[in-house]
Amino acid sequence: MRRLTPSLHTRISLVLTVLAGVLLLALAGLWLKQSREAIHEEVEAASRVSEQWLSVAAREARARPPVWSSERLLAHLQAVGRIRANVIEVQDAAGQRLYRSPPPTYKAGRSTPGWFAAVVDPGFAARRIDAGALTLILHPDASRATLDAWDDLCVMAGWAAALLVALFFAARRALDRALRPLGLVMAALERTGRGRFDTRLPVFPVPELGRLAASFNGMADRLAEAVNENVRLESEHELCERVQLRLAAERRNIARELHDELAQGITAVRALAGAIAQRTGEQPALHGHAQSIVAVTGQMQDGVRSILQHLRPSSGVEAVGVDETLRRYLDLWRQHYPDIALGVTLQAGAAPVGNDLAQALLRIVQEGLTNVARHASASRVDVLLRRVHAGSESWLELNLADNGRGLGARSSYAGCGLGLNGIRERVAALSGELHFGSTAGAGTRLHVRLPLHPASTLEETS
Amino acid sequence: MSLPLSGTKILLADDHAIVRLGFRLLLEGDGGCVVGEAESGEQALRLYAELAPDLVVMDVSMPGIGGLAALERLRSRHPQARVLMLSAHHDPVIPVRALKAGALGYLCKRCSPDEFLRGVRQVARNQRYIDPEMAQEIALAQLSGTAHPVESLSEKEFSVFLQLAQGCSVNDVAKTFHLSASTVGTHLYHIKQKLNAGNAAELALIAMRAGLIEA
Repeated sequence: MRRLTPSLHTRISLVLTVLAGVLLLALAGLWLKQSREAIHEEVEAASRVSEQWLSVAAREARARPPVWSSERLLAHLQAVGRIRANVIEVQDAAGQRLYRSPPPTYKAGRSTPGWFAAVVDPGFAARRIDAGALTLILHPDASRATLDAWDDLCVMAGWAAALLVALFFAARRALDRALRPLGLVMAALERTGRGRFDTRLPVFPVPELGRLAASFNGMADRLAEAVNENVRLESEHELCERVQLRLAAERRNIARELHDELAQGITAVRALAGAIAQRTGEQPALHGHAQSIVAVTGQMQDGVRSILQHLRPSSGVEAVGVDETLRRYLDLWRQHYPDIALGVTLQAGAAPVGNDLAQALLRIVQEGLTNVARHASASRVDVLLRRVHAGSESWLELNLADNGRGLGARSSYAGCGLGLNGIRERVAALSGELHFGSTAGAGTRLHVRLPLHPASTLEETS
Repeated sequence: MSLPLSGTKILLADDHAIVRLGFRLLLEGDGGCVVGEAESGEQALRLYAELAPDLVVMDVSMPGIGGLAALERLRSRHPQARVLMLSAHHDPVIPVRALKAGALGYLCKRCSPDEFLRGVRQVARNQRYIDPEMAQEIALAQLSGTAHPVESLSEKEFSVFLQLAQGCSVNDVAKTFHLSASTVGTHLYHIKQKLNAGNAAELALIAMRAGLIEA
């Protein structure tokens, strides 16, 4: 990612430079056209002056042959030498070249590349002037003007190239500066992705990036909040579990104390009071009191007994079995939600089932049905509990299926995330399996399998 | 006047001294003679051999081999022994066990003193006695076919089961019952088969649910 960023800068700079280059080329084209016209005018003007002058000289030569002999004309031309932008050639009647003006001394020996001359040189026809025995031929020669244009062009091209290079680097630099925050954004995203939710971006001066940074920071804030909330919930959950365990242990202790100490003590007191009553048949006052003690201790024993029953963890499940416990809950649920048809099949059987297993099943059914009532908008839900045997293994299978709108629609996870997690934990603790299936519009299915004999080993000596 | 228990020699077995004291006073008030007090099953067996009482009043839960195992041994050594079992539990499993193991009577510990004496007198006359409060439950439990799986255990297995459920290891049990560890292992195997249990924790759970041990 990091290497792509400068290449983006370079690419944008290149595009800018190429655009500028095209513009310059267009300008160069215009300039070439103007140069061509300028060259044409210049050479044309020079040729016309030369032609007039030559015409005068030729007329003289024709009119006064003795005074202006051919030799004299020739000598005159030779004395004049080269004239601007033209080459003068003198031929005799036989077409033999007698004279050609010397090559230019201006930028002598240099010439333009052929293609440039072809572009810029307007092209001129040679002019012939009759001077009696001689023929004067005037060749307009644009080579010097063309060379000037070429030199100008070279200089301008040099400047243009320098300008483009400067433009490229300047653009790159400017982009670099403007987009430098993107690197920071990238790094911040990576850090956050690795779980460092404390990452924040500075507010950049560029407004777009500033908004980006602000949204990123907002997102990170909410993420951190959510994570904190999660951690808080989890630790609360853990604390809750621990408190539950402590409570259960405490209950067991109290039950044991009650049973072993208090109940025995009451039994003893009762027997002692009975013994006193036995021996005080003739002392009605004492006898009556002793009988009262016997009666009161009887009530105390009933009290202890009912407290013990209360203290016993989930005496309900133990007393009536899983099927009945679930049935009671389901009947209650049915009354609460008469609009949802509830199909119930309970076939766990009478054989005993571990208490935590029964508790887990009840909790799962409660959680599942609560979700159905809250989120599913279902008209029917089926609960199936059965005992399955396969070889030496057996397990309880719980199926909960509704015909609601299923997950996939929006709200559904909102309320049941923690509940489902709770179920998952319980099932895992009993080495069971949990499958949660849902199709949008076709309801949800909760499938739980709890082994009846977890393959743990304890005191296996046989 | 002649008291109902006159001249009856009684052995009291309960691990709570104060309970023994109360029962002793009650029994003596009814003419009985408490010749010995034991606080464990083992001690009760020893004292019975020593004192040859007419009647044993024994608590089900005591340290060591416990009341039920002591009852079994006592009956196997002295088939004529009259035993009234007491328990603080309210589940029909224990009385059924106790009666099967040869106890003449079964009483709940929370019964009234009069009830207690009635039971003792009945057993002293070599007649069976069942706590009237428990009788119906016991009968129903036997009839309704919802017999607890624990019922299917043999006497020996039941004793071993109780010990294991209380958290004793196989070796502890073997020592307590003077059996080889492999014999106890065999019992354990049968117990697990019959109770459909996988491990010691499940045994404890079953025992707890049957009211055989306290939670």
